[in-house]
Amino acid sequence: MTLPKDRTAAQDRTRRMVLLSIWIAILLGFPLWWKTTRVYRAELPFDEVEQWSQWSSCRPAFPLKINVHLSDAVSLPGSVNPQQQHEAIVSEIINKVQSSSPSSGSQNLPLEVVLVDQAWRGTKEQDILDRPSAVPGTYDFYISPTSSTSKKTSVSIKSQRQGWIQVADWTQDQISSAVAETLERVFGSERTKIQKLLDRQDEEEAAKVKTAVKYASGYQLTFSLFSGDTSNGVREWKMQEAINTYMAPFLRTMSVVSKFTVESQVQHYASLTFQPDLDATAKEYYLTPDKLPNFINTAEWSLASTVSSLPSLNFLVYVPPADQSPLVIKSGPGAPPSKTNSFLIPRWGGITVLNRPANDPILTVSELEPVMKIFLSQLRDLLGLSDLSTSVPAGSFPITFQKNEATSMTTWELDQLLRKRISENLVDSIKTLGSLARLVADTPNMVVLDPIQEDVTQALLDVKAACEKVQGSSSSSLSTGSAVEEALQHSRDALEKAESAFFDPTMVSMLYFPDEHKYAIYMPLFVPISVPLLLSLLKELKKWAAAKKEAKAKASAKKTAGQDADAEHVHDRKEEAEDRKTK
Amino acid sequence: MRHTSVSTVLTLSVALLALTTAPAAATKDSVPILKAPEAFHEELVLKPLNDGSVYSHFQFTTHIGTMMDEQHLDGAASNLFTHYNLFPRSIGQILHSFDVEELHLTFTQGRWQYGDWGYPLAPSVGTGVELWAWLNDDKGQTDLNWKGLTNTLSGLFCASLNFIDDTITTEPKLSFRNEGLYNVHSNVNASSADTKRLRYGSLPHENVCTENLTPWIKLLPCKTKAGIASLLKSHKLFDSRFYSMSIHVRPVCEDELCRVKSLELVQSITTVFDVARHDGSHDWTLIGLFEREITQACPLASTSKIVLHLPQTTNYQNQYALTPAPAKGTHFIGSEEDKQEIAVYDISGVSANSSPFELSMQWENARPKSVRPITPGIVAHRYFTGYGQERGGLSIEIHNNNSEDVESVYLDTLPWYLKLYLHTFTIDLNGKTLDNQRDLVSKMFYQPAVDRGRPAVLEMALRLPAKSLVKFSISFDKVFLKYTEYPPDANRGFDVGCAVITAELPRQQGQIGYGGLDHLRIYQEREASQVQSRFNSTRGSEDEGLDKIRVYTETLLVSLPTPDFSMPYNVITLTCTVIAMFFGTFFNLMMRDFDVVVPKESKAKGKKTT
Repeated sequence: MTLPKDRTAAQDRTRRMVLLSIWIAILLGFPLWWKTTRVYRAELPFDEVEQWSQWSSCRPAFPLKINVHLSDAVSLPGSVNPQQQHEAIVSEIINKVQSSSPSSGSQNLPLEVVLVDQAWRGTKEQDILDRPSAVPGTYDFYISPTSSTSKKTSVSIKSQRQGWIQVADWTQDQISSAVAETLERVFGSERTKIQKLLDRQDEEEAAKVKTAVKYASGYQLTFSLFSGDTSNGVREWKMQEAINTYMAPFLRTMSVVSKFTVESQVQHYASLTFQPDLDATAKEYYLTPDKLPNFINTAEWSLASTVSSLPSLNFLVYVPPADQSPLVIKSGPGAPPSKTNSFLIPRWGGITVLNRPANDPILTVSELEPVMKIFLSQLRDLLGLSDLSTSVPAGSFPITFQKNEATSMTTWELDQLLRKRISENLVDSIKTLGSLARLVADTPNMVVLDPIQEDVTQALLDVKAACEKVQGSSSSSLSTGSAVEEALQHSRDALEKAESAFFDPTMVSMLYFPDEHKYAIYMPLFVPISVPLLLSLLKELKKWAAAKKEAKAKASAKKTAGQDADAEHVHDRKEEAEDRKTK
Repeated sequence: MRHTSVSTVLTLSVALLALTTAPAAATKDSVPILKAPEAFHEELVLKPLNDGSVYSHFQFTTHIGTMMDEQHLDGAASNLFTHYNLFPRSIGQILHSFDVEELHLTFTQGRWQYGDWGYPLAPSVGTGVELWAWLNDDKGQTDLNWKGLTNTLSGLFCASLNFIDDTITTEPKLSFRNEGLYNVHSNVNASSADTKRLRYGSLPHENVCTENLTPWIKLLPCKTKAGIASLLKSHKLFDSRFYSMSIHVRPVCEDELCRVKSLELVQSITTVFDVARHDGSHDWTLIGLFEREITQACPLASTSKIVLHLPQTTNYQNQYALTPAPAKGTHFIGSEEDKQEIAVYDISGVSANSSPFELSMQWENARPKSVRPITPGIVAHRYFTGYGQERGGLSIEIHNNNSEDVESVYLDTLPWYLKLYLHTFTIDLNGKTLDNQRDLVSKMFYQPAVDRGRPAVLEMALRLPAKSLVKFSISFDKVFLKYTEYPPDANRGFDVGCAVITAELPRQQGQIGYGGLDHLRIYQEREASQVQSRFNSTRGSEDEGLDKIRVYTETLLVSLPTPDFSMPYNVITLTCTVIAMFFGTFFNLMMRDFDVVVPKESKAKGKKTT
């Protein structure tokens, strides 16, 4: 028996429609499922981060303003028009600075040389010391003919952003070359350092262990006395007085860059984790440098702060017990002992071993003085304050440096630190944002919540603000002091925001719920549904292809068409029968 | 207007200190520096208990004149320089940064047997961890500070204190008062509003172990290197019937008029060693108890003593021998029945050159012939009633063995997953249900629980009649928790912390603190008499000789309805399978052609015929 042809065709159409509608439902539903089970990822401004890493929109530059004060004690030879002559001297200085300095890096510390019209009348040192410059980035150079008998050019850098240049020959050429050389020697190395930093060419330097701690807006300084034997040794120290005397002025000056909280504690019966070696000939115990990393007894010495979130710097005084003293640091038996008997742990703090007579329970302020001096220099190193007097290269004339006795630092060094910290903060925040961008791009499972997006945007805004502040610090000469500090503030905020985005705890959570789990959960639904769907789709496609072929064949040979259709139908029926059997 | 503002107190204290100590402490530096005297005392109390156990109580007290310092860097935060010597820096930092005025933290393992042992010197003996603190609320940040405090202490002591969150924390109204002369003084001089807040939390399930003891020892000036603390060996301490370790910080007055104030840190360890466990002998030696000996005294300690409460043997004298005998002989305290004999050893002379300190007690026949029984004034027990996982009941029994009525305060904190029904609250007095509950309960504070928000608190001021048994009972429903709220060991059950009864009892021999050791109490007796003299006008003088004690009940374990935790995945899989089956059938039906199969005529006929 044969079915009517139109019925078969109608059935085929219904079947195809059913299949099609199910597939449409699935194809529409799939993106919905994909979207609802996907992790949330806020858009991050990757392009902007990339732009910043090239400094394409703004490159930080720290303009320096040099005020040159010419002494009018002696008039310049051949002076016709003082106005013209001044301009000539300024342009000559600039020319000489530019010709002597390497082309790279000069844009990081652009110099603006101003010859102060009002001539300087003084000739004595005190006149200079009385006129400090309070604005970071603005320096006063006082130039006078040399007063010494040796008749040689000499430069003396005072602590409050002043310099005194004594020129051997009072000529225009001598004056300009002396100023140019001084500027080059004082600022040259800093210029190349900032250049390397901004262009990230300091990789080999970064690979080395850095002594200086990472920048933070505040540090906790902890001074600890570790007494090896409290029964016979020290029990108390006058640290409060010592800090007020030796540390406080320095910390007050440094508070422009970072704030400090200071604490001291005494720990009794502190023991080392190892027994120091005995040098029998010198009758002293010694620590070799390779043992110093194990010096701190982390299990027993309580050094960590329980509440402070500030990075902490530790300064330890260890008084060894009587049966281990004197204790010195030296490379081996017979070697000369370390003069300071102290060492510095990079990014952590400083340690001094103090040998003192037993049975004297109180450590006095005068005993603490040498210790505090060592701690102060260690603190300078830890904060990244470079010593200008050692970093300035030799030249044709000597440059002497004068330090502020109380603070043991100069504002020149402070300015240098400010500039270094701003550049470091900017580079670090952009590096962090870059890493974040790469991390997010590489890890598709990671959740990126809106606060992270806000942090990144805010960090970029802060980077921009800091960059613009330092750029513009020369134009508004009155407010330059605050401009640099504001720039530091912005750069600090940028770094904090960038790090809070990078270390956000919500980013990690979803890493433990990878896509595999999602698929595993939906497997019992997807597999049983997809198999018949795919099979029937294949079947329909086959049929459709066959039908097309048949239509072609029909067109060519109309006679055989009917038989073909019959054959197909029979084939279908056979399949159906088989299906029923299996059921 | 009960409390004064703390800033006033501190300025006052600094100013007063300046008056008393600054001239002496002024150094060669131009600015005089307030150097308050620091002092450290250590004491060990030993008492052989009636059941052959030995009670030991270590107490280390550190006084620091003032935490505040007038000198700091200009422009920076106040109190910039903080210098520590005997006082531990970690505790100082915590107090300062969370604005804590009083802090009490106790870790306890085991259960204190009031009936056999009497009342301990350190009253906090609730199993687990108990933390309570008075926080200054000047800035209205008490909850934030409390959270910071619990988290920081959690880190410091390696304990799960960070789990004391809003769902556990309570603010008792009548218990855990801030007492002592300092507070009396500051309350009398109160000029501002109530600015101190109490926070109380306990974790009954917390285990105490070596990792908690190590940071505790680090707070001691001499660590375990010298003094009586050198006896502390964790192996022996935790191998005991009862172990409790605590720190208490509170401001105190150094003189009666409270001119000089100081901060007091009390660290104590209480243990009950079971010496009779092995051979039934009640003999003990110091080295046998602790497996350590005192080789040198702590040079930082102002006093360093070992106090031995001698056993109260009735009728038979001289049954035991003490070696060495105390240098000053023994002496008696109290009279009549409550007479207590004590021996004091001063160990501040022990040094590396002399022989280590040793102490032993030998009984004539390895055990006493008879002992004087202890009848503690108040004993309380608490238990669950009912069965099943849906509802239950709670019963509390309080025995008053005194021959007088006793004023007391009952505090019970119940987790929110027990839904209390206050109308089911009944009181039985000596087995008879009371019709008028006001006969017993003079005040009652009840804070209903909020789901996942706060616990239920029941606090009552009671007047317990003489020689009575008072029993409370209340019913509750158990809550079916969310699937993620169960702990990993859900079928173990949930711990419910102890209830606390605070009562004023007449002094008696059952109290270990009785007998010359009042200065070791957290609320010192020396203060108590001074406090009383201030209140003499308002209070009757017959109150003298009353001690405030706290009695802790047992912790309880409640089992809540617990689900099958693989359920969510099962549900997902089952649902998916059902949907897949349905879809398969329905899809098959849709995709197939159904023809009517007409059987062949012949066959059909054949079938019919056969």
